[in-house]
Amino acid sequence: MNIISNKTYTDVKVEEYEQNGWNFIFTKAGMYNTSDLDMLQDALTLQGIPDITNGNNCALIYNKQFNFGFFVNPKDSLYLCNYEQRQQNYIDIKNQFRTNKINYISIIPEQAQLKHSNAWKQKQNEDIKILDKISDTFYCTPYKGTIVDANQIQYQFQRFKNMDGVKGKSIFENQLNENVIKTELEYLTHIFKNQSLQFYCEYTEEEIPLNNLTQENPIKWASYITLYEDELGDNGLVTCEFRFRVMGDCFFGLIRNYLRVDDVLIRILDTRIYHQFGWDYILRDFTHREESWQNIQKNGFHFSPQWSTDQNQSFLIQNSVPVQLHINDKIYFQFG
Amino acid sequence: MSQSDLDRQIAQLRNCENITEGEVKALCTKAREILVEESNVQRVDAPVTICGDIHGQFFDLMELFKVGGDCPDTNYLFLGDFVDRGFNSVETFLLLLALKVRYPDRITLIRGNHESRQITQVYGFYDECLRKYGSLNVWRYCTDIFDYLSLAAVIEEKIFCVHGGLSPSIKTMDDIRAIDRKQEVPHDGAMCDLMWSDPDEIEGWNLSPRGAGYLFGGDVVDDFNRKNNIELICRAHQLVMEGYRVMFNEQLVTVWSAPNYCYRCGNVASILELDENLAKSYKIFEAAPQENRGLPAKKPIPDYFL
Repeated sequence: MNIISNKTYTDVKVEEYEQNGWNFIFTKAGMYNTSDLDMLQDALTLQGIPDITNGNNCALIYNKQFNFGFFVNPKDSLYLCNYEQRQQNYIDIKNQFRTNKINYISIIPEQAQLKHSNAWKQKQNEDIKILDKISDTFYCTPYKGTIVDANQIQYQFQRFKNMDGVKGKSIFENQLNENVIKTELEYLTHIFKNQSLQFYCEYTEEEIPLNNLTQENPIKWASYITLYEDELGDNGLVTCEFRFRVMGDCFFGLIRNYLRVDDVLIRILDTRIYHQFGWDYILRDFTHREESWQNIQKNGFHFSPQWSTDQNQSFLIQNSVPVQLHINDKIYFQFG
Repeated sequence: MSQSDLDRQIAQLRNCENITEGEVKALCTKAREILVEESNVQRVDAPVTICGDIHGQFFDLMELFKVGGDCPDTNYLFLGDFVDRGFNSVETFLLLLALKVRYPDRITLIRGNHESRQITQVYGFYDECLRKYGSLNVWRYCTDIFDYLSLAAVIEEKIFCVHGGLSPSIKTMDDIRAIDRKQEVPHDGAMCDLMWSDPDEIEGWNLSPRGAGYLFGGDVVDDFNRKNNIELICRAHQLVMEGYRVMFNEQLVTVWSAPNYCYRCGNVASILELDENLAKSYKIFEAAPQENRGLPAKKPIPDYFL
């Protein structure tokens, strides 16, 4: 099995940049192998896990002065595919106005269904079991990024440091085992239960100034990671990715969860973050777009074969998918 | 169509050059004559090399032949999903089909869920035919041939090969033989299940939590293999990072033959070689080096996304 352990994982690439007191660290690695996928799926209590889970792709946006980190990674994102976790982490921020349960979500997405599912349900008999659903097998995550404090940042930096140490080598030996999984789970339980003493989120009507994000504002640095991807057994596509750029006076990022269930629906869950250097908060915009296949078609979008194989298909269709929810908050770095 | 014509076409296709629309039509006519005689469960003799999904990754298929040997020197069994997703579905399928016509006893092609009119319209083959030939005729000839492909194969009565998996409506081989396969892949029923179902660490039969499609557990495989005197089920259909995955006390294996799937997954691929005594040996291979393939330029991600 030497071939596999040497070749299966692509090398970890670490990209770093620093500006205005912020550090931006992105790691890029290959997808998890079968045994890691199985282990992670069990640990997160999921009924399935995306075929292509890039377990070590992550992004950390970190401010040393405030010990504040905004972290984007596939494990946290998939953790929120478990139904119970969704229930426990939902907050209506408009109603509550302010919260120090900083890693909350703003929507509990409805479980999608495949095209012919009604016909399949009707032909059920006693030989065929229907399992209780405990997690979203379309991997439609309401994840809005993870806000981490000094302790977690230290833990994450340790991880980054370890990865840095194996740069240029296979990281196959450094993958999941029971101890790693245990630490990961402790981290996850902590961050999603955490009532922060330092940071808080507050509802706002303020919008991200899109006019500051045009080509007039030159990009200083940019990066992009895919957290996971799955073809839903040839029934569509789900992707979760994070795009990010730093300009002279601000940074801007987009976590996009895109779900296409062929002939059924399109759903896009977008989390945009914006920070102007000098602000004591990050402005976060959460937008849920969704519409049935039929209605999108009725409104003039042509579902062409070129479109369905285009890697940027979500950007091509987004304006044809109406907004269902749009809610903004500010993530403050310290109690003012 | 003379043998020298066919040999020339094979040589052309091996260079990833297309043959003419007229030649595709003639090739498909000839292929149909051969395939129509094949059983739903095609009997295959050992030694044989089993290959999983290819998905239009033509240059990686060339790597596969490097590792496994050329046809007809090696006897091949392909488990379907020749087309879609990759950049060269047309050349991939036509080469395999031309080899089938030239060496009918040295290569067996069975049908995957992508060998379907409906699926190819979403996942690339339709679009590629239209782009490369300027009309849909080639797509029509090919999809018509898909209807004639066998649904399964059995090697020396011991190894059952299928694209997806088992079906709750199939208990014996005769149940498969009773299917009228010359049709588009249906949305449900035995023929659909053979191409779509997946094994899972569960008990019995389960409806997929996504609402359509079946999952089957180790006890189902146990039962099927015992009843039909089968030692191993060999299937494809699911991406495996390591190229293959053995399950259920070695009673089932998934073989995946598209390395670096979609040109970005970083997985390795495998083929399963069976010698005349059915002894198994998995061969792992990687994607063709970048310089060996004419990759279309990757579309840049818009920098100024909002």
